[in-house]
Amino acid sequence: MSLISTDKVTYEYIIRDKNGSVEGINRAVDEVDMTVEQGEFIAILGSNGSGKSTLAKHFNALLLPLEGTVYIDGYDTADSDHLWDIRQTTGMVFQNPDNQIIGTLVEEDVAFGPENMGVKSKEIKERVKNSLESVGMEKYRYKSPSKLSGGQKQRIAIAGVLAMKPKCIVLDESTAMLDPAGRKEVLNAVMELNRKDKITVILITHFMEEVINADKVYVIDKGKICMSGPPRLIFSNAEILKEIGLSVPYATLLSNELRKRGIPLRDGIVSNEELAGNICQLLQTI
Amino acid sequence: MSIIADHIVYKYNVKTHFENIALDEVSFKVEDGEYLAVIGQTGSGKSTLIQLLNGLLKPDSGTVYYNGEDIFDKDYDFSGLRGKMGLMFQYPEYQLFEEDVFSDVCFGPQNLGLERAEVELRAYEALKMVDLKDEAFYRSPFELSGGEKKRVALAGILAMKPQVLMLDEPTAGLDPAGKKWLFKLLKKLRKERDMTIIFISHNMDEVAENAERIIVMDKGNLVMDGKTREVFSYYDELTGMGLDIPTSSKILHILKENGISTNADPVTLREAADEIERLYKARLH
Repeated sequence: MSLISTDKVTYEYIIRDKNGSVEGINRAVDEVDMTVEQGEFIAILGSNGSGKSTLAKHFNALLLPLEGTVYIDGYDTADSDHLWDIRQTTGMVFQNPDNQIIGTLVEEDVAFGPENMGVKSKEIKERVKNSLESVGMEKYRYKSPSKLSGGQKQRIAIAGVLAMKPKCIVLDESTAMLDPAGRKEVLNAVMELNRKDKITVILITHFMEEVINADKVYVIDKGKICMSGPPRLIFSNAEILKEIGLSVPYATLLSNELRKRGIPLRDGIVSNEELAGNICQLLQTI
Repeated sequence: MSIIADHIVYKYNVKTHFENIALDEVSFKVEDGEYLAVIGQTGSGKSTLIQLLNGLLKPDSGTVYYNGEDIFDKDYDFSGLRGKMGLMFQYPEYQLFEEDVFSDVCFGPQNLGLERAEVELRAYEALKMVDLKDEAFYRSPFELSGGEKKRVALAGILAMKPQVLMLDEPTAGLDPAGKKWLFKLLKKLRKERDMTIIFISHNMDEVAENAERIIVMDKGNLVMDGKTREVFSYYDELTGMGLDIPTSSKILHILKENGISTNADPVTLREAADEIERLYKARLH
């Protein structure tokens, strides 16, 4: 059984004018079929307004599909009896770190989830400790979250989700508001959780460089999946990506330009190291 | 015509235990029509700096001269400054407040005391300039996507017809197409309206591709000020400050570490491609 599977999921927003009359309907998610297996690192790429965040909110029943079905670990998200099982299976981390931290101490913030689940206090302590260790924030346990950087706050938010022992973490543009150092911090923490603890990760982003290590990338445009596959395959379609407001990693862009100029670089370059390595090899073998 | 920052000092929480110097004796001059990027780590004082240039914050000592006049002088026409220097905050999409997009864009020029007809004309022109579709003009700004909201916020500033446009991390949250669009617009504004542009960014590739000059802030100090290429040639100093450098520089740096000899310091994609092409062809012959 897949951890997440969606069957023709459709979601619409209704646009109303000042007086409340319906002006139009925006189909944000349009018959999306996707499956995510336990332990996978999945990336969802899409431009602003492509529907990627709306889709993500279906993965822990924050939104319910208008048509179609979402199964999380076998539970239909429309079945309200299993709402808490679903929310415990997939935890979400959002874009703005300041909107999702509630505790006055880091420890309290991380404990909030398991407390609400009725976990015994001795176990909560254990979970808080382990979760903070997993994201490298154990030193800040007794500090105030307000004094932390954006990247650190997001790592606390991830720890808060981890304390609920989810099988899957959904990061909904969680790095969009961070500086490059903060983005790297969060991304490394997440990749480590995926690698070591086999936690399924769904990373929603429009930073191309962030998805090059994903097992599989889904590209969303106008609510539909327009491409899916391993990152190298996705990034070999620079033209299509450009048309839908996306791009390819810088190294891919530069290697495409070089190939256009007749320099025989290999296909499928996505990282700076690969590109430099390939150029070195080429220059040294002439 | 210029902006001069003259020994600006700005402190947070003055006379408390938490007193903290945000800007320490910062001085520089920006000439008309310059295209300047301000870079530095989070907390280095970049945002504080541009809010001071704009007169939104008042320095503890030192001052700012705009076109030769001290903007913090008690006789200075401060409200007039609002129309001359536009500032787009980091997340302007959270600052829209009117019932519909058009009213929101009218707010700025209206406060300049212009005639209603002129206000509306300017709002219309500004919305056209940011490529917002006509049918969105009377929608609530809250129904727009993040990228569209940013366009509306920018239109609100452009409708005041400022001579200087300052933007605090304007591309944060924008997708690749949105980023490209924004820099195209800035280029156009410089060309057609001869505007001075000052922007803050963490994305060194967009700084390299667009800015002509860079100011580097570190812990409240202005530590470097020079032409884009010159500043980015200080690879070790910048990375030492925890700053990123353009991807092209990074790639060339890896090549050098692997024994490829080159003296070039490319900062843009085209420059990197030119240099790699040159190296390749030199070896072929």
